[in-house]
Amino acid sequence: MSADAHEHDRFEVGAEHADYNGDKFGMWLFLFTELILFGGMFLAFFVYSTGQYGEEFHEAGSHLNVFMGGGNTIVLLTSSLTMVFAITAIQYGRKYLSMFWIVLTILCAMGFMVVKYFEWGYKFKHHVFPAKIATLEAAFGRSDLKKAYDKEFMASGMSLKEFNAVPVNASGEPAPEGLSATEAHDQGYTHSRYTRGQIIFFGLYFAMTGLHGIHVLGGVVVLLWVLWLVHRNKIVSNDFIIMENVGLYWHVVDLIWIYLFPVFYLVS
Amino acid sequence: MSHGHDEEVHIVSFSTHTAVWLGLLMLSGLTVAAAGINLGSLNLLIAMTIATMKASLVVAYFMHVKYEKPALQFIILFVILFMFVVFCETFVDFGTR
Repeated sequence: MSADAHEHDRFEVGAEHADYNGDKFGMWLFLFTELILFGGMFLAFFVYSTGQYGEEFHEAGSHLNVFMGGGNTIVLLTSSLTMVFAITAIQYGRKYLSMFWIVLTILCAMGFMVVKYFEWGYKFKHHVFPAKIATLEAAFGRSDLKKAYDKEFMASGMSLKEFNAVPVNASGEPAPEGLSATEAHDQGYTHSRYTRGQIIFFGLYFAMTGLHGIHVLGGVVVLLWVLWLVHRNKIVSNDFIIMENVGLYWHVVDLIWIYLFPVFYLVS
Repeated sequence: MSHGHDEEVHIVSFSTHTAVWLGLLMLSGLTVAAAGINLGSLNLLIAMTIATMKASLVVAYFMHVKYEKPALQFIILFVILFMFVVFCETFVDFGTR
């Protein structure tokens, strides 16, 4: 189909106060703030991973599941495709085709969140939590905790890996020797010991993928709104700026994941 | 801002979008493959380069920036350069401590 035959002048039909360029520019301004929000967090990650915690980041990163992360990359890239398909469809005036692609975009977004649910659930099962106050204190500033950790480690005569494998209870005391894994678990030794670097890695991991996940959920909400507007003929072939702007937002969510995936799952 | 007849809507075809999507999938595969080879600190650089290629495709085609007015293109480029400068400054700072 030739694109030329379908070009429209959006200002011909009842849109006296419409400001297409203004609407779009406003959206871009918002997207710039999003870029800077995530950019700052990426900066923190790069500084730690190329600095003193490089090795520990490497170790922590190897716990992430590349297949889940890679699968989600494909899901999100595909959702970006279905999003632009929805826009092309509405530009051609094909309402129901456009709605079909929006529904697929929403399904991709929800599929992404389902995978995220299993990924996070897997980590919770292994006692990696977003905010364990005691361990965060150990990571930031509380040098007494760090010293206690180092002292214990030196005294234990174990390798760092063995030492970190010993379960600890909520106040950081290690399980006594001779207990089986289940006995230790039953007596409250349910936490893992993590090094500072690992704690910072998982802190950034949960903060960044969590904030990204919130953006995906927000995307689902605005996509449902767009679906409703198309259904009500409020978004039509000569007035679709809302769909375009929601599309721009959705692509930024995709863009952030394009960087999140290699940074967390692969580089380590 | 703009009036009537100088405003033309550029429609990107389904096939162009599909080609871009295939390119993105191939680059994703390349990222995973490149991560399998241990090149030390080069790995981060390679991964970021491929990610930036993917991001450029998304911005140019999916986000329609290739077909936007030069003014908007300039502003977007400016913000990206601003981010780049902030990143470089931070690395210069931490790299020379």
